[in-house]
Amino acid sequence: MENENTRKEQEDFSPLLKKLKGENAFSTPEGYFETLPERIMEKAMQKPARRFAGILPVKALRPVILALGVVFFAVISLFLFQNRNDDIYLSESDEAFFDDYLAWYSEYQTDVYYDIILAAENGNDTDMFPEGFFEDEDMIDYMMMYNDYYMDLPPLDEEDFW
Amino acid sequence: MHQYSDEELLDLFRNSDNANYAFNLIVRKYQERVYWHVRRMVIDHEDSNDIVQDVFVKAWKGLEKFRADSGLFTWLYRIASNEALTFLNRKKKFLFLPLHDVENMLSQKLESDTYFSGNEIEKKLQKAILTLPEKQRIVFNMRYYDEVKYEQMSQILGTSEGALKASYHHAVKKVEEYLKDD
Repeated sequence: MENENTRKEQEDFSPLLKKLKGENAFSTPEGYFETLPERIMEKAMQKPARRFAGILPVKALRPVILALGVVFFAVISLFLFQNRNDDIYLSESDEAFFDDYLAWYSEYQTDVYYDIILAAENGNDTDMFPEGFFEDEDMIDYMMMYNDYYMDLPPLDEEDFW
Repeated sequence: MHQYSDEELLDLFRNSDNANYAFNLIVRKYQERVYWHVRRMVIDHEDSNDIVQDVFVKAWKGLEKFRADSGLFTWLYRIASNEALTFLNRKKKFLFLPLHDVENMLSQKLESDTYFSGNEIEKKLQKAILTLPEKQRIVFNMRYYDEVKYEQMSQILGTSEGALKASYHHAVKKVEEYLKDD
């Protein structure tokens, strides 16, 4: 009965598809279905390998394993927390070095910034760039390249600059 | 050989000392339908073989708790559909491919498949079916090839009959369009 319904439906939906429905174009290796049940039964009968079965009573040890896990994570968390706190305080020598480095870095970078601006204004005549070192276009490219970086510098006082 | 009904097979499985025998009969009764259902989804014989074995191993493990609210056939089809979809998704994830690329791959596989003997039109039909989204493909295959009732399909796929009819209708139109192309 359902086959009749299906046929009618296929006729209604698509006569083309109904016409194409013929022999199964897929095939299997010879004798495949005769041996498949045996292979399935063999696979179904296999017991899953249990790594510690017979050596340790894994089920009984479950609470102990859980407790050890909790202790392990607690120790790791404590260790990380302490290290994080240590990072906040620098030794005196580290602090001095860090200050020097910052001072040098900002001074040096600011000089470069001034040099570029002066070069642009005075026809490249600066200590850093000999005359004619840059074409105008090169200068613009160079400034554009550094522009994003220098945007982060604190704004210069106009009086100091000129 | 006497063809047992599903009820008889389940009784035999539960009451007999030899559950293996009963299960063997279940496998023999449904192996081909399950295999072809899976094969049309994943195309490759070796992949289908692995999936079919997994389907029946899962059935073996779950049969004791099977309450027969739905038919045995419905239950096996549901496991097979899930396994086929899981396989395709795993393949997609493993190969880092979008799903339509997996379908392209299956289409190419069809070209070199030793166990596909269809002519050019049949090959084109299979390729057309492979362009459908996977769930719509399941619906199409079940209705077109296996002639499963919408009521049963609804139990297998957990979708309303109306939605399945609409899905099948759309699938037919898409396949037809692909075939008429060129």
